[in-house]
Order: sequence, then C-alpha cells, then structure tokens
Amino acid sequence: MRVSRRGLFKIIIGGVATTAAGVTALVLGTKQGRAAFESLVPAATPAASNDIVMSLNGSEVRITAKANRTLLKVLREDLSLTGTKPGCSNGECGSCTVLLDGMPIYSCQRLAVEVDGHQVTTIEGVGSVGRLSALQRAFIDEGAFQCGYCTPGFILSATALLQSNPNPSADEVREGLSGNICRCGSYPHITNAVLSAAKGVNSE
Amino acid sequence: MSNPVVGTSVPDVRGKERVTGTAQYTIDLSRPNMLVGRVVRSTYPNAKILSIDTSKAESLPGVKAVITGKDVPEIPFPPFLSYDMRVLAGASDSYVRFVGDEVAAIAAETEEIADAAAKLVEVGYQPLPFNLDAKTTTQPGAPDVESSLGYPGNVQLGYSPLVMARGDVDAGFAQADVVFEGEYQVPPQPAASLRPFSCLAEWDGPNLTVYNDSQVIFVRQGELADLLGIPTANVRVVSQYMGGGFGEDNLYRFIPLAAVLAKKTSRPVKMVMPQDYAFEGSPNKRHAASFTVKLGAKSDGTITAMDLQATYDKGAYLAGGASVPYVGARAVFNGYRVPNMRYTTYAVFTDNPPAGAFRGYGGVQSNFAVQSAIDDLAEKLGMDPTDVQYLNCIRPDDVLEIEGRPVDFTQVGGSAFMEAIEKGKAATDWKSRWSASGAAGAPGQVRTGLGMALLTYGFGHKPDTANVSIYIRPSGQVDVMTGTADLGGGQPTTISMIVAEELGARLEDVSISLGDTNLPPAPFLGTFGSRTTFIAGNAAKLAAADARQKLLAAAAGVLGTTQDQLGTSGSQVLVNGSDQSATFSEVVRSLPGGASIEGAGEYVHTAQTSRSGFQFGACFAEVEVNQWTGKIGVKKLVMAQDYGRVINPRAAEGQMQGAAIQGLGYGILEDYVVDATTAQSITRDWLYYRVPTIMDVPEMSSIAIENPDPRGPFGAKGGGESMIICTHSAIRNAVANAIGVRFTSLPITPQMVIEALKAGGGR
Repeated sequence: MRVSRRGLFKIIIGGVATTAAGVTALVLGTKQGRAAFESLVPAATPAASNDIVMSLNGSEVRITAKANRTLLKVLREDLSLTGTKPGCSNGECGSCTVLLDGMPIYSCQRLAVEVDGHQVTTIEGVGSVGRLSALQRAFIDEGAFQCGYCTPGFILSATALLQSNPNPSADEVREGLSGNICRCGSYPHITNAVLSAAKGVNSE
Repeated sequence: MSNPVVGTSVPDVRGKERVTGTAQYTIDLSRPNMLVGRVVRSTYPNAKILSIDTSKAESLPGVKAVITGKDVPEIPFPPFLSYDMRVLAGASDSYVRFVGDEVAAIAAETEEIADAAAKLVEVGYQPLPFNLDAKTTTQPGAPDVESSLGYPGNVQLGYSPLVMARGDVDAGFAQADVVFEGEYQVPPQPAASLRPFSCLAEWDGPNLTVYNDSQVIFVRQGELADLLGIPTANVRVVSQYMGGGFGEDNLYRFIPLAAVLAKKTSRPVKMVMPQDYAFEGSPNKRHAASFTVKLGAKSDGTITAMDLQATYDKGAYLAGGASVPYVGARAVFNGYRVPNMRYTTYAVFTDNPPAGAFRGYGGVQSNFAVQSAIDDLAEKLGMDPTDVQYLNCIRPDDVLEIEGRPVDFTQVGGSAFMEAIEKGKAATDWKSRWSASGAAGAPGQVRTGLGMALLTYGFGHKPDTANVSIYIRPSGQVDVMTGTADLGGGQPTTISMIVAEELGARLEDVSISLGDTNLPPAPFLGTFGSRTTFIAGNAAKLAAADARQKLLAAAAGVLGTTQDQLGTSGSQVLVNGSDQSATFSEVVRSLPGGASIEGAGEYVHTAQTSRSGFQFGACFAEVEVNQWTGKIGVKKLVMAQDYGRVINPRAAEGQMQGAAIQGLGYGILEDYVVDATTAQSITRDWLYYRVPTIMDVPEMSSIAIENPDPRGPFGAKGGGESMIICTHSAIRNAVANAIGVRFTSLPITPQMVIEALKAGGGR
C-alpha cells in the first residue's frame, strides 16, 4: 500500500471524529478515542510478525513487527532512530513523544501495528544539525534545555502545538507541553523558546 | 578586550546535537553482537542468602552468562568514599541489606530472554527483622544493619555523634530574652531522572572501555581497574552526554557487573536498569533527616545561641554520601555570625536503600530545619523574618572560623547575604506587602503569603586538580581537551567561553572534546559539587594563557615586532597602535612542519578550607493557599544568588530556575512513600512520585549577584546547586505566613493543609 499524505488525510477524516473533542479524546487515550483509533487498525496477529507500512518522516517505511512490539522499540531498535528517547516507558514522562498524523503521542504506549497506514514524525524528521527548524533554533537560543534528554519530546509536542495554534499565549504553551517532564526544570526557558519561535514564524 | 565573551549569554556549544536527537546518550549506543545485561535484586530489606540456584536461568536458550557473588572480586566497593559495599552479595558476605541490593547478574541475547532469565534465578532468603526508622535504629535490640561491615550500633564512624561548636551555648541561652525550640524532618528524595540507568562495557584484548552517563569518569576508571585487578591504563571510561545527573551517578554496581559479564562472554554487554531503579535500589537518594533546633535571641532579634541536633538516615550503606551530614552542619555554621553554636550530628544505618549524593548534598536537609526555625523564632519575637535574618547572617567582611582556621570572607568573594535579602525584598515588594498575618493578595478562602530563606554552601572540595590542554591548529581552530563531563549545566560552553576570552579567540573557533578518560582529567574527582567552573575553569584559563604566550612569541616574528606590542582579539593577533594584524591561522602556519601551538594548564586546588569557596543566596516565595482544597499554588519565586562573576548569564539563570523548581518539588509535590511492612517503595514511577511539570512552575525572577571571588576564573564561583538548598524552606515559610500553620515536615500536601486547618492550626 502506498501511503501518501493525501491518502492518510482521507483515512483520518474518514475514520476518526473530526471535531476538536474527538481529536482530544484520541490524544488523551480515552475509551472513545481508543475505540475510534482501533477502528482504523487492521486486526493484528498476536504471535506472528505483522507487516506494517507507515510514512515515517515523509518516506514510506515497511517493517515487520510482533503485535506486542511498541512503536518506541521499533523506532529505536529496528530503525536505529535513537533521537526518540525512552524515559518511563509507562506513558508518564513524554520523553518518547512522536507525532502520529500530526498529533503528539507517547510512542511507548503505541503498538507498532497501530501505526500501519499512518504518518509518523520523529525528531529526525523535524530538522537536522545543518537544517534546524525554527523551533529547534529557538530552543538553542533560549537555552531551553540542560541535559537535553527530554528535549526531542518537548520539541515534538511544541511542533504539534504550533501547527494547531501558531500564536499561542504562555498559558497555552504550558497547557500544550504539560505532558512532558523536564527533570532539569528548564520549563521557563522552554516556554520562552516556543513563544519566540511562534513570534519568529509569524513575523516572517 | 574588545569583544568580551565572558558575561554574555551564549547558546550551548553542543545544543544542535541536543535539539536534533543526535546527541548520543549511553542508552542510545549499540554494538554488533552486543548482549543485554540484567541485574537480579533483593526483594527483602534484610535477609541472609541461603542459596542461589542459577541452573534454570543458565539453561534458558540465549542466556550467555549468569554471575553471582562468587564470580566477582570481593574487594570493597566503591573505592572512593566508603568502601563498605560488595559488588554482589552472596559470597562470604551472604546478606542483603536493602530492597534492591544486587544479588546476581545476567547477560543474554535479547531483553526478553534476559528478563525471563532474571525470573529463573532462584534465591533462597532467610528474611530477618528490619528497621526503617532512623530514630530507633540505635536503640538496644534494634536489628543490626551493618554487623558484618564494622559499624557497631548502626552508627556511622565518627558520627556518634559529631559535634561542631563555637562559643558557650549555655551562656548564650542565659543571655536570651526569648528561647524557641522546634523539631523538623525531611524525607528522602530520589533524583528521578528520566533516562534509564545504563552502561555499555566492551573489551578489546586486555583493554576495557565503559560508556556510561557518569559525572565521575576518572574515579570510575580507578574503581574498575581496582575491582578487576587490571592496570588503570587499560580502562577507559567515556561519558558523552548525561541524561540528568544531580549526583545520582556517583556510585553504581551495575557498571562493574557489565564489565565482568562482558569479560566472561567476550562480547559487548549493555546493561539497562529498569525504570523503577530510579526510585528503588538506586543508592543515591537524598538522605532523610530529622532535627531539633533550639534558638535563643534578644528581644531585638539578635540570636545569642543556636543548639541543633541532626540525625541523618544513611540507609544500609555509606555508599556515595559519607560526608553528607558533615556538609549539612557546615552549611549552617557558615551562615550565621551567632557567637554560641553547637551542632550535634548523628548518622545512622537502617534497612532503607542507601542514601547518597543528590544536588545540594547535605545542605538541603539542615537548611529546612534552620530556615524554618528562624522564621518561627521571628514570629515568636513579633518581628519581620527578613530583619532577623539580616541581623544575624554572615556579613561581607566577616571573619569566620571554619575547620579551625579563620576565613576572611573578603578574600573569597564576600558574603552576599545582605545584598540577596535586599534584592529579594525589592523584587517581592516585601515592605509594602508583608505582614505577620499574611501578605496583601487574594482575599477570602485563598490566602496569600510571603516567605524567604537563606542558603550558604561550600562548593568544590579538595584535594582536587584539573588539567586542560589547548591546541591552536594551522586552520585557526582552537581545540580544547579536558575530561570534564557534560552534566547539562553548560560545562562545555563555560569552559569554551573562558578559553575564548583569555586567548582572544572567537567562540565559534573554539571546539571542545570532553567526557573521556583519555583526555586530561578535570576535575579529577568529577563534575559534581558545583566545582567545574571554578576548578576546570581555572585550568582552562591557565591553558589559554599559556597558549596565548606561545602564540604571541610566534606572532612577533610574523609581524616583525616584539611580543609586548601585541594583543589578541577575534582570533587575530593585533599590533598595538597600528592596523597591522595576523590571524591565528597565519601565525600557526608560520611555524615549521605544520605544528600546532599547544597550551597546558593545571589547577591544583589549594584552598585553606576543605571546600573551594562559598556560595550565598536567598530565595523569596509567594504562595496562595486554598483553605478549602488545601492546594498550595506557588505564585512567584525570586532567587538571588552570588555567582562571583557570571560567565554565561542565560545558563546561570537556567541553573537557578532548575534548582529552584526541584526545590519546589521537594517542598510540596515529591512524596516518596515506602510500605512499612515490606520496605518496598510504593512511589516507583513518575505517576505516583510527582516531580514538577510545566504547570507547577511559577513566575520566576533570577537575580545574579556578582561579588568576584579573586581566586575564581574571571572571579566566578560555582553555583549550579545553590537554589535547591533553600527553595523548599522559602515555600514552607510562605505557607506559614499565608495561613499561620508552621509545618515541620515535607512535602506539604493538600491533605496536610486541610488536616492542620481542621485541627485548628490556622489563624
């Protein structure tokens, strides 16, 4: 199956409630959101390997994975994309945040089979050392990290936030990043970075 | 200098790697043919190991090695501070002493196999009575925690008790108009860094390389060499990017275990500890401690006597925190000009997991007791607490006896207490808003309060040395080589800035290599205790000065003048009073044979006192307490801290904010709960152990005070830890101001607020 951006868009529109509430439910992992999501996922074979096709950072990727294998493990161990950081591996800290069809999710809480036919963005798809995104640049300029371990997760959450709300208030930034933990406590600089990136993009 | 670097906000020199996910933390490393390591840990807090049967685990396909106590050297561990552990229990010392004590280790082809094998290791335990209470552990009949290790009566050597005193305490109380007595206690605090603990060990013939997120690579190198009985030169330890840190990496047994497993299997072994290791088994939590404080004061607020007793809970081993109680006492003694002081410290063993090093090492606990007590005394005196603090704190020109020597504070950058108090009051509008019955603010059920606390802390300690090498390449690039770890506090950027400033180079021409024992050791002891800017920074400055001297000597020939006519700026050598110049590259390329110009700097720590220097500061907190829900909302934190000289303002601000946010967590959120019947932690993940999120962060104002320490590089002091030492105390005092309840333990939860108000504790 060839995954195109347009095709994915159709799948999403067709399969999931398109209201803001529906999307929120999906993100929060509520029962309704989960049910809506599961309606999209082809039935997986638990013991055997499953063929999965996803659009990963803009390229089609075909993998096989057991039904119990998480997206986090597939990204890091099978695809060597170690920019996605494992933290609690329990859906609490946000270190492993990636975008699924543009929405931030914890990749430790998503089975690889669930992303079949969907679009996944990791930190490697956001920018590179030679070509930073405006948000990545702002994180550096504002000193929005210390040890940097949680940083890729924060940048993905913030990327999604700015896509849905290009001109957020400080409170909206905090709300949008409340699912990510930074134990170094770089939060004030993180808020500054997101606001400054928004300002920069909006003035361009 | 025409283009100053020091004192300007500079982005992290390794920032691009961090924001793109290309920074490789230990957990990101892998090797072809790599095995996965796992550790089997005790589920009992105190037990005798009767048997360990590894046969089922060994027969599982894919398991390559299972080791127990008999397979590892029995030399004491860690060979750094305490020497009182074994790498694995089970050989001649057949006891486990805390939940999480390591018993066996496994190397297998996959994680799944290693996990399955860990469950197949059968350990026969004879459970023994245990005691988790530091108050009763020294009483007759209490279970003996350390019997086989030579700590009679469950007391740390030298702490039975340790008494520090000056003046005559009894005479001091006799002079007092008011005497206040209080009891305070603080809980353990795990660092709770998000990155799982891990290491990768690989052998190449007789040579071992270990990758880990370590602050102490040179100490670890020696530790591994001792333990494995091989020359230190055969061990290389690499720590490139650390996830977290905060002191928690001072000591770990899974690292030598990975080395032993890798040797045994002749394959690289990557050991990844489970996530709950951050909460249980990780031997580096903050020590729980309890205090009694007695203060005597004149009616004008002058404190005439302070008498304190502290009991620090070591857990089952000294581990990496042997000097924590001493540092705690010092942090009180160095803060006040009170003539009569006595500080009596007990440090006792229990069957809790070992306590060790965590940011603010020792000072966080005693700060809570003393800063709460002084606030409570001020209430009893009917005074503004800032006035009591101002009257009694160490002043800029005080001379204080520390460790038997008079320390003239004017020689070490002065005491910034008074300035910190003045700036904190201004930033919170204290004069017009504070009253003894709360601050002007929200009316009704939500009460507003203002509170403050002081901190002092000795950064660095001796003996320590640092070495930095510098090479100015023919391309003009300046390579800085030093073994310091990149802990996340901006260390590589700070050192690069110091080099650029001293050398007259552009910062973008400076490139730094670090975090590897193949590089010059700096600081030798490790990147902890807020020492890197001071100790490694001094070495970097010396190395840059050395390189600059050689550069000028070479440039004199190129430019046809004498050295004394030359200066450097912007990676160029300039001739005074002329527009003649040569780039660094041109000068170096004039040397024969494509050589580089080398500079070397060694800084040997020779401070009079055991600590390199002294930090002073204050935190001011504004809180709103909802008397219906018990919720404490921290509205504002003002941090005023003496950095001596700020090298990188934004990084310094980040350290103040981050430390204060961790202190906020300790004050009102982070509640480490252990089940008293099993000794197992209930709060073993980030859902139940609640560290601050972005939603908990108040308005923050960071004030860097600059009273240069003449011994520091460009006057700089260390300061990465300071604000964690007093933020929890400031919040506690603000809560007391808001609702009139003077809490004596942490964290102050909504439940505690409601219960105290129900019991009539409010005003």
